[in-house]
Amino acid sequence: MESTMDSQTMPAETGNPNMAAVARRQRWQDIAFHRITQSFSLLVLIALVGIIASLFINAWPAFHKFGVNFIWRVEWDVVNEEFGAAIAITGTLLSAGIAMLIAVPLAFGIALFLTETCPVWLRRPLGTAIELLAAVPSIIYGMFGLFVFAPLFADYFQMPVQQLIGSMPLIGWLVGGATNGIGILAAGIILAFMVLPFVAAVMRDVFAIVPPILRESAYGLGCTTWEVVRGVVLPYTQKGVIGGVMLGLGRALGETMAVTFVIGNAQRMPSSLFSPGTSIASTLANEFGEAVDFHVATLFALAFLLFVITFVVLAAAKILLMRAERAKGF
Amino acid sequence: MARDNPTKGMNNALYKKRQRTNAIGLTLSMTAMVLGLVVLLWILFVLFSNGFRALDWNMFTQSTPAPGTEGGGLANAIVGSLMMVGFAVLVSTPIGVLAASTWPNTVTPARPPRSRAS
Repeated sequence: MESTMDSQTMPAETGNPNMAAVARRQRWQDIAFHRITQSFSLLVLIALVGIIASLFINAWPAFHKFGVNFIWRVEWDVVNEEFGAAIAITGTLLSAGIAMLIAVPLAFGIALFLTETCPVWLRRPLGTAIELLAAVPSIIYGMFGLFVFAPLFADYFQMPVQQLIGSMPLIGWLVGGATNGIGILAAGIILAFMVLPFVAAVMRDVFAIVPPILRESAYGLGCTTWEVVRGVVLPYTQKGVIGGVMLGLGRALGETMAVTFVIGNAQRMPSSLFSPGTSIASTLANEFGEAVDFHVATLFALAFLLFVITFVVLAAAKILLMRAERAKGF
Repeated sequence: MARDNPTKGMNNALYKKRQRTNAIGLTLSMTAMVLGLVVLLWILFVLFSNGFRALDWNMFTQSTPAPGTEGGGLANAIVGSLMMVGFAVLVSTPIGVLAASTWPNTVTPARPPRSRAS
């Protein structure tokens, strides 16, 4: 930018006709470059809008038939063409919610360890190891969940827990149902470890932007590490932390393959944490291949709802992270 | 002395409590770190211990056979993945680079021509 400015202002000073030609050519190049790049960024936007529009157009028969009620109808009957999104939405929100309940405290602990207590020479290798969790493809989480985790989970968690609290009044229903290792809770746990690296990485990065002077002042007053994190680091990085959590939530909501492997894929309202359910993404993965006519439209309607949910969550995350970035300045 | 002691005792109790909270918090954070690493190593262990047995030269040179047939490999899947990733990079790199260069706070080359034109 500096050089183009120079070459454009120079001809007036030197009066060299060659320089004027060069300047004109450069101006045209600049304009052309500007237009090309602009059209490409518009292309990205058009692709996004196109996806939303095509989802909605294909979903229209379903929305037309069921109206807004589609969102809370508890029904998924392919044979009689009675559809509702409530089961899939419940499964999506429940599994993602469980995932966040597990992943957020873990990510906070990891970020705290990496920024405060970890010896400096260990920070990079350990941070990279946690980031490696994000490099594991989701299908591998699915296979791992189904073939390795689920049997162990059934034998060493579900059965003992069900025996322990299954017959208790108020909370017994939570652990009812078959203990075969797959279900809403198993999906939530697998999801938790999938989103953990993302949340932990964001938290670690925003913890690192806390000005050393604030941190050191707190230490200087005699605060313990825990008090510094609770009283200085967390309030300072609040927005960034929430942004990171939302980022993880966005991933958890849209995750397809790993969830499909372990959630159980039953089009029933889950009656307990152990019972099989289905999420929007896993319904799409399971049923798109053999869907015809109206069934396709309902799947598109589900996809549209999922897109809206994840879009809102990710947009909120972006806004919060941007505010956290700006707070870095003061 | 008698007047000093209660306050001192209280401070001591508070100090102990803060120390304890700190120790619990830091222990939990270390546990979280260990848990994350254990899960990573567990997944890697399962993958390698089960995967290496099936690994041989045919894996890379032969296509997947019909179900129930002996032998064969995953050459088709590997080539397919590579082709797909290659084309994806070829298409997305120019679009991504050009689109990103108009976004604010990355590059701002667009200003001079426009301000000159007006």
